[in-house]
Amino acid sequence: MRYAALDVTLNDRWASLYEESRPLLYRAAALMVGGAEAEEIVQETFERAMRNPSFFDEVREPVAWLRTVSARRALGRLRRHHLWERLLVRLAPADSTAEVWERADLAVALKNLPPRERVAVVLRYYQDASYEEIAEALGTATSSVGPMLSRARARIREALT
Amino acid sequence: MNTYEDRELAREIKTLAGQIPIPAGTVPQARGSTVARAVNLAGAMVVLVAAVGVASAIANLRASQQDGVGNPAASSSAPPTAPVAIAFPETALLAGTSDGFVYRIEGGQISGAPVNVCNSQSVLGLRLSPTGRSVLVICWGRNDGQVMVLDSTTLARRAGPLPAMPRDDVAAWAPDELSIAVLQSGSCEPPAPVCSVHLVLWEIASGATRVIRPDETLTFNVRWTSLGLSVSFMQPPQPGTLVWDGQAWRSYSDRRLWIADTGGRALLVQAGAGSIGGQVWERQGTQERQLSVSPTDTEYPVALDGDRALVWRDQPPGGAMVIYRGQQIERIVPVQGLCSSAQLVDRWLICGDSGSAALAYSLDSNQFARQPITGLNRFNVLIPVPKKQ
Repeated sequence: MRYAALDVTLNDRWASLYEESRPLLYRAAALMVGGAEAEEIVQETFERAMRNPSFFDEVREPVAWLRTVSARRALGRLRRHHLWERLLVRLAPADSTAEVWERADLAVALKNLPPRERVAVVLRYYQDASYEEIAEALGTATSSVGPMLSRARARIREALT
Repeated sequence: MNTYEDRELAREIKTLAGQIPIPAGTVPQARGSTVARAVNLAGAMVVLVAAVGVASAIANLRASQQDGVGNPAASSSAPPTAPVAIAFPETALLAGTSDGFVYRIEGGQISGAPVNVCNSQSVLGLRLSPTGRSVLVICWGRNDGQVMVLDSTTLARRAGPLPAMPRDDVAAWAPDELSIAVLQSGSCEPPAPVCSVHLVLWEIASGATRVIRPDETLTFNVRWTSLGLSVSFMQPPQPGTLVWDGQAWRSYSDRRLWIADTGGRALLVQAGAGSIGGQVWERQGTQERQLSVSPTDTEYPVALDGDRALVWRDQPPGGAMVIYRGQQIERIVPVQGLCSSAQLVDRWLICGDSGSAALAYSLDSNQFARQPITGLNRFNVLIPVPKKQ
């Protein structure tokens, strides 16, 4: 009974964390990789977190952890997409099945950013991540985050004018 | 967020994100947890399913409510459109745009020809001189920005350009109007983690500059208040604000100074690295006390009015003017638009943020007035200026 009670509490915590963080994680993932793959990123991120039975004891800021891991997963997918796009001839317009929001000028500008810049921009401007968090998610130096965001902003600005 | 451009991009991305519909979802099945495996019993599963079901139902309900209406973090508090019934005050305005032009506006109409002050780069900031005769323009640039001084009536150039950091908070007029404090780019040699900046005093008449703070990193928030010239620093070992009395710098607060009145009362901001707004504090003498109630709110000091403190609360895509008296909220006035900075004219606060219509807040009636500007779809910055004589 003691174990059962403990596990109920644990599951409550997962359910609560899921409810709290999913909208933000889903939308961030959608901005990074597109709506079609956003749910998979969220699911993979939670599955990875739930593999650790001591997650809530070891992770001080669960939402920040989820944000970082989902960003890394999105970056991995974007890199694979990027590679395929360079190798394959595109058979159909990429946005033929795009949702309405994905056809917005800003969404298109984001989509055309290099993968790392795209992830950095979403982390910074949608999820309010610090430079340190962005650096951790991208596996880069904190000092490179500012210039990267600056380049991304310039590309977005050019795309929108 | 550091700059106007940062904040604007954040707003646009959050607005875009708000249009992304969230499908129904359930929390994934836990894997690998020994506790979870050990108690994978019917009783526990019933509770788990119930918990997930409730969470899922709430998520679905919220998703269906939120589709297309905004950022989930902000949608519950997104302000309604406040009725704007009062007339906009009679004042001339200067507007700076993202394509580098400065427009003079009178009665909601463009007056005279706009001037391409920033060589087609964004106008980041406009600062009216203490007498209102001149205006300092801060221009964006890919590597470096620049500042220059214009006649506020004719828009003819009086001084500059002078290289400056491409941010909106890098320059401030001296009270005597003879000089301007400007942050400029400093050394930027690897492996320095970030480039440093230095603060110069720019004498308008001669064009001469004098370094008054040497190269340092993460310096920003240049202001010239009744306390003196001040700059803020973002991170340890020296976070907070230093004030210069013309001779020496002294530590003023661990927080960032924004506004001070002649009685020594001031409004400060405590924010994380890289953010402009944050938690607003009030200082009287040496005592500092927090005004912002919720740690999740992002607020910006706007003005001090007697014993009231006016603070803008950001709630994208709009926000609200929050009036504090003591540590109590006296009223909250929501509006569609932005007013995180403002200039006082005859008991009106003329909002200086980007928008498609001018906004002004009446200190007497506690309402916003709105004035569309014919022929100008959007501006980056806006300030009131004296009317032509």
